[in-house]
Amino acid sequence: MITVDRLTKTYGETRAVDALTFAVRPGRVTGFVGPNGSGKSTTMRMMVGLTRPDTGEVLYDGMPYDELPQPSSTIGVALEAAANPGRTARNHLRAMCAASGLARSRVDAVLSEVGITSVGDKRVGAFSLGMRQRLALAGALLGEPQTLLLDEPANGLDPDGIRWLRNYLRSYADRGGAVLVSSHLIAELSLFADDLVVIGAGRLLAAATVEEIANNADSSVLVETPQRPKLTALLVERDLGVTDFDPRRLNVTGSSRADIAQLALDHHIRIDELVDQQASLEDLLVDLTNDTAEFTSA
Amino acid sequence: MTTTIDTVPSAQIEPTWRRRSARRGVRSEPRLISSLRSEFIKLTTVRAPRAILALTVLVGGVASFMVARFVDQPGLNVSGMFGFSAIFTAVFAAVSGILLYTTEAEHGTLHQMFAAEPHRGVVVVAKTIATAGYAALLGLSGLAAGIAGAALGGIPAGDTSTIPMAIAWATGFAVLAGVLGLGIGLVARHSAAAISGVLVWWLVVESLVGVFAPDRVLRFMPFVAGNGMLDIAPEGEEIAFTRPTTALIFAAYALGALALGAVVANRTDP
Repeated sequence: MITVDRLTKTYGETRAVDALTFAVRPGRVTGFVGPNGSGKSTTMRMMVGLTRPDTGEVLYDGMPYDELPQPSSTIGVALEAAANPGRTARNHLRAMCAASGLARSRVDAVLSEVGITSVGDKRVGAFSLGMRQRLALAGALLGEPQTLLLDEPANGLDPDGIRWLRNYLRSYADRGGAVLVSSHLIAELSLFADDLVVIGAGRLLAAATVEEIANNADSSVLVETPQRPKLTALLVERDLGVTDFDPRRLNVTGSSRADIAQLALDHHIRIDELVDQQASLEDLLVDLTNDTAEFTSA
Repeated sequence: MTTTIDTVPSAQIEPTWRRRSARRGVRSEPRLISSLRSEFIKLTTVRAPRAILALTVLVGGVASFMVARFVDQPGLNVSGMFGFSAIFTAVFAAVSGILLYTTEAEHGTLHQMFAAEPHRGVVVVAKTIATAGYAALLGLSGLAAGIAGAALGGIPAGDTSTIPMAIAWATGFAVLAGVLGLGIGLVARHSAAAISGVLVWWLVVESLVGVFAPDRVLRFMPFVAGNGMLDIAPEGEEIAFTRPTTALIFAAYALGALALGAVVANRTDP
């Protein structure tokens, strides 16, 4: 289990990460979500000793990263799909294997595991971004770690590759591994993550299961009626939230479809359509992080 | 080009860590040995080190051949002039030392290295050993090519008893030049900036210092001192340092740059 405790990092006047606390549990895929510049990558770099935090600590089963006897056997790290373009994939992994003090036989095993055995002897410079992402994942798997730390691993993958990655990480967690994966693809992440850690401007905005966060999403009922003013008046009388959707339709919050139908029936109001509306997880997370986003759409 | 991605169904992947969790974190060898093995693999699996070695041999051999063949100087012999090729060798060694670190910084692989070995001092020591070994190889190869080139140029062998000592000094110069390059690479982390900085200093700045500063100052310049290891003294030989003293001065620059580089590597985010 990874525990991140009050991790803080400041660059000049900018607080990149602000007292961030969360946990990554075994057997779970934890999605790490936040807008650009929210501090995700800085946090992940601090988790593996690449950036020194001002305060706070990260513990792996109670042990700091730099005290792990063989870090790659505890945590597999893929923060970017980086490799010397003049080196073959196999030799790149051999060098990584040696640096970690691992057996060379792991190279072929991980090449096979991520499905790039056939290009193992090709130079990385000829790889697509998707293949480099697989190579980065192979590097993370060399030490057979119990935990994977992946920063935007789906970047550059084609739809089939994304599906493969999703299934792979899900399977990894199902076998008892812990996975922390950052992604901008919130909808994609919600398909296989168990937990979400949401940050904005370096601060923790939410840390809960996907279900718990999804349950907080606003629900509403879309009502289509030719008697809109009459129905609106009745709904407002009952302190329900009403917003105009278009000249014939209303969006009602704070009530159920059945209650609205009963109200309309009691007052002889014709209803043409009555539809439940649920905000998506993506909408919810965008709303959650909107105030902290460095760059937002117009 | 069509590339096949052999995707293994995730269900077929064995949960390996359960079997080995009991020995998790047990290293089979010391950290420094692991880092050294990694450096050796990195040095031998890209083209640049082989290209620099080939260039060193070519330049060393051709330069010695040209001097032997076309310079009309009384008393010119193989044992007396082959060491001049070591100047080129030292340049290549310094560039190699720079590239050993800056290419990793530029390709983004530093974070993989430091994640695998969080004790960055171990990585710096491994890179220093790798640089020194490779620079020694460059030095010896360049000198061998220098001897061959001079001999092919048709000049007499001269007093061959001085050759082993000349090889030792010239190889030492190449090794220290490589370490100096590594130190500069650790600080600069950018190939073009580091290489141009070293070459401009070596070929331009020290020449300008030679114009404006007295010899007693000039002899403390790093590459003037380094050339002293090859027994190449600036004008004003009466104040030139002995070979051991020039070696100490040049080593001080090399180790100083390395120490500064180690501090920067330790404190800076890769």
